[in-house]
Amino acid sequence: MTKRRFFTLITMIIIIITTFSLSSCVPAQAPATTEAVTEETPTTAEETTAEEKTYEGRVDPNITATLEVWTYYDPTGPQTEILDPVAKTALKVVENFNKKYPNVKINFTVVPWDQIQDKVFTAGQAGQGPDVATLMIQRMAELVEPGLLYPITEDYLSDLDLEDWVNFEIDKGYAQFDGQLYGISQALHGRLLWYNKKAFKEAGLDPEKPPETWTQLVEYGKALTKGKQYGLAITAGEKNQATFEWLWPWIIAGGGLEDLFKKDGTAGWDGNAGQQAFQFIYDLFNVNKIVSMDAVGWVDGTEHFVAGDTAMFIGGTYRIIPITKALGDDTGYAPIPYPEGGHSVNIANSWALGISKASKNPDLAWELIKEWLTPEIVPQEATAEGAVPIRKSALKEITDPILLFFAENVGKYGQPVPPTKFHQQGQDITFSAIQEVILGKKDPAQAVKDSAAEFNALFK
Amino acid sequence: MKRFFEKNFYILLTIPATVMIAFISIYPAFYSFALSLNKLTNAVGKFEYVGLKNYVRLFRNPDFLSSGIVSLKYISISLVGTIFLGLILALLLNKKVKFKGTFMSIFLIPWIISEVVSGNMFRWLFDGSFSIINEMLSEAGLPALKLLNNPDGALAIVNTATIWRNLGFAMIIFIAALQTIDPNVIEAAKVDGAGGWQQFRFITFPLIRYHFMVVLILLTLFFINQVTTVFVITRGGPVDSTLVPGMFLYRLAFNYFDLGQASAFSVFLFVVNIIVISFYIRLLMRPQ
Repeated sequence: MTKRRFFTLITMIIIIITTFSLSSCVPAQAPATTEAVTEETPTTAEETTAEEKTYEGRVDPNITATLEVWTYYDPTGPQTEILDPVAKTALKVVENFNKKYPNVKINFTVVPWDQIQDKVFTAGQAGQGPDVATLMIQRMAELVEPGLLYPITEDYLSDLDLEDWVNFEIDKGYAQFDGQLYGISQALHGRLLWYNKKAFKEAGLDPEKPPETWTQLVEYGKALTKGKQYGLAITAGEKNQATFEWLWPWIIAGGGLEDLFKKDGTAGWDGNAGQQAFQFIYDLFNVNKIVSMDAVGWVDGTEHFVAGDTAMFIGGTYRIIPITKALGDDTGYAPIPYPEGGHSVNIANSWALGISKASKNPDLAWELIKEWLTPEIVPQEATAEGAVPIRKSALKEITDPILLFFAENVGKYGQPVPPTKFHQQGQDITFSAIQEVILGKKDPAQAVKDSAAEFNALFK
Repeated sequence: MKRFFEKNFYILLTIPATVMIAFISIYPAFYSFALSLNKLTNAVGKFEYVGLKNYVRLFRNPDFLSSGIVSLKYISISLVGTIFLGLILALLLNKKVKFKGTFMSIFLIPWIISEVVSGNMFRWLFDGSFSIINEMLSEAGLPALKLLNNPDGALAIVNTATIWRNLGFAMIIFIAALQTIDPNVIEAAKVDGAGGWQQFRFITFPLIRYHFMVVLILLTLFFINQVTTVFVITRGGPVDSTLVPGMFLYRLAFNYFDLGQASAFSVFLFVVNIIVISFYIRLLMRPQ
């Protein structure tokens, strides 16, 4: 073989590889493995449904199988203080599950919390993925639209006593598409106003009467802002916290859900409620000066609240452990203040369990999910996450007054974010717009108008 | 057959590497190009051919332009800073200095530290409330530095962190290059009356220009693909003021799951890389 022939051979190999790569994108030529899973699974589900009456569960208890679970916590390795209880609960779930299915092995794969959705999506495109994944319920649409999750059918749901659920509407609001549910919450997270009772007393404020309205929030904030201490902390440098903790609740509080996203998914924040919220936030930073401009660079305002830099903080219920540890009996909590004539809004969301389309045994995966929803596990999970239990009956077992307050708050003011095809873009665009307003780069009216136009252009 | 193997032995040795590169580099590159011409449909792994629509959407995306402007600032400042300081350090350490090895190790440490660690270090160094720098300024009765909460300040910190981290890499390559220069050549130039700048301009730089080009190309590629440092310090903000290409790509692909547009952007970046590198090669490889 001459050198020329040899190089011709190498070139041919490269051309063949290229041809494969290009042909993989030809429509209607999905990977064989994917097709196999897609076609095979409904049959599996139907077959096992038929056998349901034979066993206590839907699957033969003697089945030998392995279930892959992708989570944001690590039940198998060294754990952080905060995540430890969640991981311990997962181990209890496995223990209970293995009592029913002794030959099923559960493999946990740990994925950082803000990447888990991405990993499920990427793996799903290759026909891969776990059986069960813990997913952000507000981002279910991204996985449902390309068909990466199995529905949690009415048949599956019939295994549960939904009458006992605290607020199943939140799950439906986020995870139900075309009448089919695709994920089920483990516990509900809410947002509220945290405050430091000691700082209130020092400022001559009644620690048992936290601010209820925006006007009161500003009054209290001014009284609490002195020296190096600011009245209020909000996380204005990280989009997930900024939008869920204060920006979107304040837009909805001045009107309704459609003042954030309209029913068709387009922007609703360019109305009066949105403008009012943007103006209020601008004033907090620039006129009333009760929030530090540093907050624009913060990726977690909790650190500043627990360090005593601020006297109040709008943040998630999931901050219960660091806050109560730092403040102890001086921990105060109240619903998020609202505009006069409006109402408090607490955007509720959760870690939801979903079944990936890559699962070879969705019935068995559902059996595992059910273990997380039992009356025994629900209160443990809620306490571990610092969240509201999903079952009303579990509330009886909760003794922590803060968690009980969360539960009441989520029941009264809990709202899901209206589903939109461009949830992530909506977060980025509104987050960027509010930062422009805070920094004085745009006036609030112009910012809401421009950001809504930018968002609506995505639908064209 | 034996003759064939003897004749082509060295070529045969390259086959495993060639095949590996084909699978891990060439295949994904072509796949990405193909993806940029397709759109995901509502079925796992299925795509729909859309021609150049993803490119049109990309060029109309307002973040594309703002990211482009940010990238030009970020890459040019980081490149100039890293290369200039790296070269100066290399020239200084190339002389007979005490504790030369210690100094080299100190400047190399940032290069071996994880980007997440160094990013967090800079975030805390410049935090408006907690930072040690602001604590010292406060003790001295000076106003606090509030850089992370304004767009220009945030970009300056990201640039500083990038330069700090990559300085050691540039320095070590330049030192290696400087050590290849025959001292007699420099001595001869001195005898001919060449000053320090003339020695550098006419002797040193022409002799290290291949190394200079390698540093320039590698750093350009590093900076174009930068994600970690920016993600840890600013997450692309505030007001998208640090939305470097890597962050924009990450946002398109993994926040919006818009694989078509993300692939179009990566193809665009690939073309930009080729143009920039060709320009470097033409500029630095031309005959003296």
